Amino acid sequence: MSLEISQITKTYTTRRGSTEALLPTTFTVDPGEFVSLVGPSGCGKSTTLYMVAGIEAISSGSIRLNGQEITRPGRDRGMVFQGYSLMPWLNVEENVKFSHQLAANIKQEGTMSQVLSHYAYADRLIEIVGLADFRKSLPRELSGGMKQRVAIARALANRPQILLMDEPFGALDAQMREEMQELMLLLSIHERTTVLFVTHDVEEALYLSSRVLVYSPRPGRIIEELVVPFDRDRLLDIKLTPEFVQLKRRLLHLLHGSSSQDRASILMRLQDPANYSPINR
Amino acid sequence: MELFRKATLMLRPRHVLGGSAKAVGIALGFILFALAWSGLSRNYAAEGKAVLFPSPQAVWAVAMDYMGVGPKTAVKVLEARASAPSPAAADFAEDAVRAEAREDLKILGLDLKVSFRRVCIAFLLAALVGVPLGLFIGAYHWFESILQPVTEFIRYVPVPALVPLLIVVFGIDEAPKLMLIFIGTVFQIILMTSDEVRRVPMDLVHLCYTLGGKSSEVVFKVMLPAALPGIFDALRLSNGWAWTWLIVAELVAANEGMGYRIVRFQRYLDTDKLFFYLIILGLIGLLLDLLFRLLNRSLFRWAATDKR
Repeated sequence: MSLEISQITKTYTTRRGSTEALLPTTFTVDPGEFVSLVGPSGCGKSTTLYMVAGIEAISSGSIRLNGQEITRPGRDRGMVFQGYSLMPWLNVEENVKFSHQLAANIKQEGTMSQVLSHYAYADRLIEIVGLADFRKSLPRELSGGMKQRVAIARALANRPQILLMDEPFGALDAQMREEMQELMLLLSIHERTTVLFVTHDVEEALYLSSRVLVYSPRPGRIIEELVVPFDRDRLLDIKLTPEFVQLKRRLLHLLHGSSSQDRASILMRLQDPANYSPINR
Repeated sequence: MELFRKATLMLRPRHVLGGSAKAVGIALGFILFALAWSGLSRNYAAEGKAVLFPSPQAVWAVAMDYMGVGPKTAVKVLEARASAPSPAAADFAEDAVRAEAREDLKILGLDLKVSFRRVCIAFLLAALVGVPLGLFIGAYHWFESILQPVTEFIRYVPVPALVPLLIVVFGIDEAPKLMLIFIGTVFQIILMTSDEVRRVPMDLVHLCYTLGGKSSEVVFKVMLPAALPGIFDALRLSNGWAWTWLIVAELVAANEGMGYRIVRFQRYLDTDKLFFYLIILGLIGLLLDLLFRLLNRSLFRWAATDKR
């Protein structure tokens, strides 16, 4: 059971011609792995994820899950979006159990005991993510972090073989983001979830992942593969250790190789007498 | 000075008014309206044409007459009693006058009933046809490409221009009136419903697919419920249109109904009664609007937004 991505590309064709968004990309995700894709915006990391989800068409190459070619979205790949995308008319419990009322899952579930265990699992997930007291709350009554907990529980309740997450914590404030990272890490360890995770936050990628793939700016391709050398079960404090900081610095250098140049040019523009402004002088 | 500062603060854009300030504003609006109305009517009265443009007081008097407690009824009763030869005959004469006054109210009731029936039937039909078509146009691009351009084309044909054709095709019974209201509202409903469905976030659609949903489940379990408050609001707006087309239909060919009665009043220069009917039409619109809003708010609590 694994995800095999081989030589996939993405080309957008417009009236002016075609632009390459993603150069041939190949990697695999093994069961139980937590793989992060990091890179600057527009590098094609989200595109990769959407192609795995079956939402975006691949221009060439192939994606296989357990040897099966992926052509469309399916229940074997759960998705968590940055914008939560909860059904606003359903409460927390109904959102988490939304997949249970879809025909495909009713057929799959089969016997009564299996259906019941699905329901029981969904209930357990609501408790695990810490929303037991908010079962009957509507999404509009929840904070961003709580909404994303619902979205994660909903995706897991369907027992996907791989969980796809597109910058899930990008809209949260720094404190909530760390809280959610810790929850996600422990959840993935205990539920043995295979995760493909997209983020532009290097620290987040290092903390959560067993492996990090670094993308180049557009047109994207993988320029570095880093196996994170820490124990899977790690504390948030690990972010402060020299080893972690060193890895973080390495990744940041890969991502922003030109940042010192940016600094120089900003300073040049600031000190240019032509741009002299008399405000506050 | 403090009060002045508060008042100028209230005038700023997007400043939310408190309950009492809002009530003052509403009252002010109606007072200005009444002042403008009575000013206009005084102009007509000065030229001796009061009958062309009645004053608010005159219309109020007519409303009271409809209830059987107005001045005209009272005068008629007095006159009838005075000319009666005996007390028994006076009672009889008064009864006759009051029965006549009640006749007006009965006619109003009949007009209301007939007009309501026409709007209800035609509007329900339009909703039953328009909402599903709008849903499919908003959900399926292939359906949209077939139906949207055609409906857009028909929508731009001015509805009153269809009246002669409808009379030729459907005669002068109920059918042409219902058809006019139907045609006048169904395309609006289709358009607004499809827009609401298109506005459902793509992420929700993707999400339903990734949970194993079929296309029909995406349409009926995600798109429809997500768009329902908006669709309901579209129905509120097109209900207003339904009443407009009703009056158009009744102005042209009818034997009863609000629009028909208004033409009758015009013919006999009963402008005070005409105004009374106009006010009733306005009130009906206002009440239906309010009803739709209340229903929307209670049915779709999840969609409620804070007006800030």
